[in-house]
Amino acid sequence: MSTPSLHSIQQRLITLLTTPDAFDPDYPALVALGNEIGPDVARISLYARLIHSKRIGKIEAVLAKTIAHMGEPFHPLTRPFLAAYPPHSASRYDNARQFFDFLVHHWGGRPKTRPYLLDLARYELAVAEARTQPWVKIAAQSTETDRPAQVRRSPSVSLIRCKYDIRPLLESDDAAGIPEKRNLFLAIVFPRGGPKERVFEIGADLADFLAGLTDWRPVSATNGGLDQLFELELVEGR
Amino acid sequence: MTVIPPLIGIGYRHPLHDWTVEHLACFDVLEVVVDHYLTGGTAYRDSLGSLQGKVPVTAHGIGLSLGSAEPLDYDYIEQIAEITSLIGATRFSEHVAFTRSSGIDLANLLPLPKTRETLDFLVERLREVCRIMPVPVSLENITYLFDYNYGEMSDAEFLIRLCERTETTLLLDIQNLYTNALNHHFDPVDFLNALPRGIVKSVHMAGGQEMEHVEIDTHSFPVRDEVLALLGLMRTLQSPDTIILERDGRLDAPDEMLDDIDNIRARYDLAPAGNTHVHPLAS
Repeated sequence: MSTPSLHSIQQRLITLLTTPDAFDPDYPALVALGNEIGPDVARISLYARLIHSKRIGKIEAVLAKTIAHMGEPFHPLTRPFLAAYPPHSASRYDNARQFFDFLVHHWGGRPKTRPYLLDLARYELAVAEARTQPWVKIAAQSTETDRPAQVRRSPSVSLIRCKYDIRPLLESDDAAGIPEKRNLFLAIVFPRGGPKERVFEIGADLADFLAGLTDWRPVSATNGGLDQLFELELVEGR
Repeated sequence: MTVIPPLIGIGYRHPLHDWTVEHLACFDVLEVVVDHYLTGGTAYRDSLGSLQGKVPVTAHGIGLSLGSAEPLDYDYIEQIAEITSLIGATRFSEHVAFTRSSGIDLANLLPLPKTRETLDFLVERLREVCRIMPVPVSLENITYLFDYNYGEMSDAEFLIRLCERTETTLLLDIQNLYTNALNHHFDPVDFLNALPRGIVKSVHMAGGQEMEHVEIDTHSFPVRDEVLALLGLMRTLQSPDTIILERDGRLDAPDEMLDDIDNIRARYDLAPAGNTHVHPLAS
């Protein structure tokens, strides 16, 4: 019997290892693969469980408060999640984002009894996104000057618009009840050299301004008032 | 002939930044995971930047998926090459493994069948990686829970052939060697004796744990005595210039790493870690 091609064996292995059915060493597809490539079926199954456990740990790390406020057990949800959303990257943010998409589907668009959970999850994702802002070569070339000619939103800033004032939930693990319903714009920034995010409530106009400032723009094309934004590290100049 | 002892240090982990700074005098070198630099955000990069020039660094990768049977990700390779230069690393290391296939990324290392066909495939890809990387490349042996029943050579033979055909060197993970020997019932001493002198340029040490009667390389516990003993034997056969202790779990007990570092130094008859130790290559 000829040996399988590298591509086909990798494809089958990875597909199996992302299938929660493979947690069971007697899963027929797993047994079939084991018979074909090697006898270590129980260990492939163990590996599947270890991989999933690590991935779920990443999701728990990002969406800790959302999971704590869900009002339903988290772990029974992970199996259908794993079946529907195979991992596409190693990043915590990407995996948490996939779980958020799963939750939205699971909730039928939004959670019925705790509608603020969508805002809370979006907030936690925004923090993760700001924290893990990828390195790009051009970022290393930007320089800070006293009088920058161009300005853009700092790459480590995330913006979210909430329908509920979720801040009490962020400030205390004991906060109970449904947060007040109101439009809330938050800017999340990881200050340079700082270990923890800073969160600012901002007005709708500023939120729109920052949302549109993804690329470098001449300072002269803005309406001024940038000093405080520089100070808060919401924008950067060159 | 005077044998220069290796630089001994740890893998840099951002959650342990303050602890690392506090104990920097205990380490001759830090290993930076380029993927963490790439995706760790400004906080990570600023923290690491604050150590620039204070301690030598080496670069380590976990996201290349060298053995994936699909095209190389040149954007990724160029980025990690740039980062390797930026942080001033003198060597880059990656694993002989695959993590991705058909758009799915397990973020975990999987073994490759040790066949001539795989070897040819890896050689071609590795030459491309070496062409782009600005520093010499080392290859790390991984742990594997399962193996393929159609392998054509031993672990050692496969790694030696790969290194020789690509003019790369070996990053020998002694915990991985110990783990594989235990789980797959071979003698790690035979593995060490099979390696040609000079092939091992750097070493990884770590502590694992047993789960379901299988040794797992979790990087969570102190280095086992058996692994230290293998380091002692390796010392008589190879002259690595760097030894890195890896720790990724139970980060709330970092001081265990200081004991590990002392135990590693003891295998080289070096004084315990601390301010009194100044490595000849570290200045």
